[in-house]
Amino acid sequence: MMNRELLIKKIASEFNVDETEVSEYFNSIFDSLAAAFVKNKNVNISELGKFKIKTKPDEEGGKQKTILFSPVKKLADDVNYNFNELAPVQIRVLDEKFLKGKLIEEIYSDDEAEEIILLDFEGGEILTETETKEIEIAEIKEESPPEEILIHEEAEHDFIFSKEEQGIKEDILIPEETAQNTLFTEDVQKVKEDILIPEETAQNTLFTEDVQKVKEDILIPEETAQNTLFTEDVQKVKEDILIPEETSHEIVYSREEHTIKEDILIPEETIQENPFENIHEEKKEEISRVLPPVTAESIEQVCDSESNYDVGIEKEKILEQLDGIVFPEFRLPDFEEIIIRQKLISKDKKIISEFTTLIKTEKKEEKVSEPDLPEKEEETILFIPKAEIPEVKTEEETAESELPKKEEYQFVQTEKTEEEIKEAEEVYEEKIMAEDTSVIIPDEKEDEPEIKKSNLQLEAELLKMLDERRKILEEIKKLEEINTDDLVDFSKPSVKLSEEKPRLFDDSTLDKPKQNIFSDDEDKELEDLLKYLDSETDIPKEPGTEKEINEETEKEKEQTREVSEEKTSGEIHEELKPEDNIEDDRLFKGEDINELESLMGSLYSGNEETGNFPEPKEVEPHLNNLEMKVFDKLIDEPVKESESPATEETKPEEVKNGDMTSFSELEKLFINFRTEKTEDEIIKKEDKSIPEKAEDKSIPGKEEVKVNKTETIKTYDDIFNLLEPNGRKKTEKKPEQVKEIAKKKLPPKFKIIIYGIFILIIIIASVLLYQRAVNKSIKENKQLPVTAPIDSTKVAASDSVVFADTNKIKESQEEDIVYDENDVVIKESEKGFIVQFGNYENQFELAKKIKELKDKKIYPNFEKNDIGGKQIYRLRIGPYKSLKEAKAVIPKL
Amino acid sequence: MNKQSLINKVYIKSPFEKEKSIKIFNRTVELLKESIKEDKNIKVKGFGRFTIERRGMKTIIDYNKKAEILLPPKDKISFKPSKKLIKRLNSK
Repeated sequence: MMNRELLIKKIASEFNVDETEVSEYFNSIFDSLAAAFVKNKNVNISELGKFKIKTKPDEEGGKQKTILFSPVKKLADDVNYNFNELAPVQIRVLDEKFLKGKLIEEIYSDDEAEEIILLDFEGGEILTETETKEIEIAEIKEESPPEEILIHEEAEHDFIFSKEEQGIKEDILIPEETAQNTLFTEDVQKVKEDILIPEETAQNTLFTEDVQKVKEDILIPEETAQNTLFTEDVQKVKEDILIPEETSHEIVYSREEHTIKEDILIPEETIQENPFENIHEEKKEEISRVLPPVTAESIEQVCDSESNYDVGIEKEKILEQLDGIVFPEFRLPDFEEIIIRQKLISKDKKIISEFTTLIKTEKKEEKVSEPDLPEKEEETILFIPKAEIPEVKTEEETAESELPKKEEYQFVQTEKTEEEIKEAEEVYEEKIMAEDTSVIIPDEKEDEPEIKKSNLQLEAELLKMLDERRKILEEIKKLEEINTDDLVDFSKPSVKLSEEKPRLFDDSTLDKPKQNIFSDDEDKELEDLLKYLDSETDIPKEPGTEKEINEETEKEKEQTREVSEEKTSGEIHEELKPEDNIEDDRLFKGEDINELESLMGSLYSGNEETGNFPEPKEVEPHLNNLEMKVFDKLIDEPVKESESPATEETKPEEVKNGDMTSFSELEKLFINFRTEKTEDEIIKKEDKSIPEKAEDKSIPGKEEVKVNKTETIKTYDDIFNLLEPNGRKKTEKKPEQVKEIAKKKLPPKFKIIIYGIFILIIIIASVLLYQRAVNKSIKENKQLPVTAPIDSTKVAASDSVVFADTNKIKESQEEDIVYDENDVVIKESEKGFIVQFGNYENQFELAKKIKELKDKKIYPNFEKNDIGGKQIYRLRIGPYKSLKEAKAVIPKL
Repeated sequence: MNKQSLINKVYIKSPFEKEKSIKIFNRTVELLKESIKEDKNIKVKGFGRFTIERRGMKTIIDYNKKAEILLPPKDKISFKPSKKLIKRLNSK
């Protein structure tokens, strides 16, 4: 234990001071504290704490003052380092009887109150000797807040867990052979609980958990609860619950938590039979009664027969489709042949394929004879009830190879008669005729009327293509009219048409016919169409077989290719002129031929320079012909673009010459291409820009200024420099205008008045200063008593009166020294005898002395003297009426 | 009364200079604190005794929350004034 003596010794040793002095110092400290307490003053030492005075009722009934000490928080925490991490915990919500002002000691009996387990949370061990505790706290993690558990030891086998903390992870181990009745009331949020309930424990457990975001790992062992009731409204909680064997018979889980994910292991022999399995088996049985099973062999037998391929689906693909069906045991009746018909219907850019299954059965009863179709008399349709067979929808894989890829296909299994199928086919063909679709019908067997219809379709497609080409030619013509000589020469091979609008002829097509823009199929279609038209119009030809037609077309193709290699474009065109009797106005007219001639002439005149063509990848695909012209023009004149300042200077000259009219148009087009603006806007901009340019030319001085402005704004920083932080433009203050405003505000009359006022003020001030100076000289002769300056030490001695300027007063008072012994001087003045003593350089020493004298009921004054550059204070007492009185004071000093 | 005023008062009565008296005062406060932390008991004659008391875990009923609250144990500094000081306080 630290004593006062030890403290004194330590301090004396540290500061090399006598112990007596230190003891005096200590005395002074505690005396001053006691004096403050006596005066009912609270003392606050910032590093230690506060001492407060409070009144308490005395034993005798009176009041007694006491001192309370409240330490600084830092000191308190340092002292309470064992339990700083602990915080108060809400154990449970009380009933009404608890809320009637009863204390817990009153509620519980004395024995129960003593049995309250006090846990030392520092080490996780129980301080008190409670050997028969059922619960052990296994781990208390540092991050989690402390958990306080109130456990009534063996309190009628009832356990109460009350947890309200958030973010607590509890790992609680409940030992074996403990309470039979456990009650878990958990109001915890974000709690991870790993609870292990041992074997042979509680028979009746009640879990009432209002926890949110709780992770529980509870394991329920095998052969445990016979009757389990899970009422769980929990979300996102992971619970692994293990309830040991042979434990509780009745477990009630009532959980209202959200965000709980539960993984509960329910032991075997407790789960009842799944009712869904029975339903599944019943369905299987019903289906098996109606449909016999399908095997791979049966399908192969069916597919081997020749009549199956109405649509052309291969054997393997059928097997794949059947494998793709989800239903496991799909059974079909016995059959000999299977016929699958496919229909393609285009609706809203979707091709729907309808499959109709025709199954030949051995049973004659189910056969349906159809006189309209002699080939299919034996074919019958099996109507499969919908209730027995589930609807199966799969994507068709077979049609993908033949049809475009991105379109969707659906497999629709339908049941239709052959009459209905025929009707559907007719409707489908009509639709094809009406709508221009890109459907390619995979028909291997094509009849004559079908060929005719297909030719009509191709004719329509060809007409559309020709319309597009006409449009292209019209555009080209327009451009040729606009751009005379300076424009791009189409005789040169610098023009590259866009990919979207393919050309009629290309060099590559002549050299390499297979690499034509049009596909081979399209070429075939065109040739077929031409032949068809020839056959229908003037030249009556016997409709031969397709093979013969194809041979003829191939021969013609070869001839044309040979000729095209040798001859020029004009000669080719002559050959292609409609000398044949083609009456269709839409196809080949004289005008169109001329257009084609012009185009072909422009294209094929410069075959030698094909190596200079830009690659098609370099050209943007969305360019129009006009844009292409601009692009080519810019390519032809790269030097002009690079020399931008030179071009700006040469522009007006070229405008004067008239050649640059085309260049300006090109520029317009280029701007239009770049900015995608309307022509009106461009014209407006040009109208604005032209006068500005004219002004610039007329005034050479202004040109430089504008150029500087444009040059400054090259980067974003320049723009930000020109802007204010608000985002507005910086307004340039014009000082000249401000000056003008100031001049306007001050007319000459006001100026005169202001000057006059100034002069008056100066005169008045000078008069006043003169008066003050005169008054000062008068007052100097008088001696006025002045209070001393404010000082802590002087305030204590504020009872006396001190003259302001003591030196002058001394001189004026004419004091005579009457007594002078031991630095004590008695001076005689008009007022009386004054005792003067002491020479103090330090103000604190002076204050000490004044304090001592005040304690002796002597109230001194002090005076300040400058001696040798040092300020020395002297104490004065008096005045006294007589010398005796003055001398009587000297021994007290 | 605060620390500064106490120092001034003590300095007037003390034989030391001001700087030294201030240093001594601060050192005494530090020694008191250290001794409270380590020894947990200080006795100053004529003034009082500083002790540390351990208050055990206890339950409280909070009527606002309508709940029973468990307070953790705590080590607390307590000051017992001496009889002389109490007499001096209650003399007037």
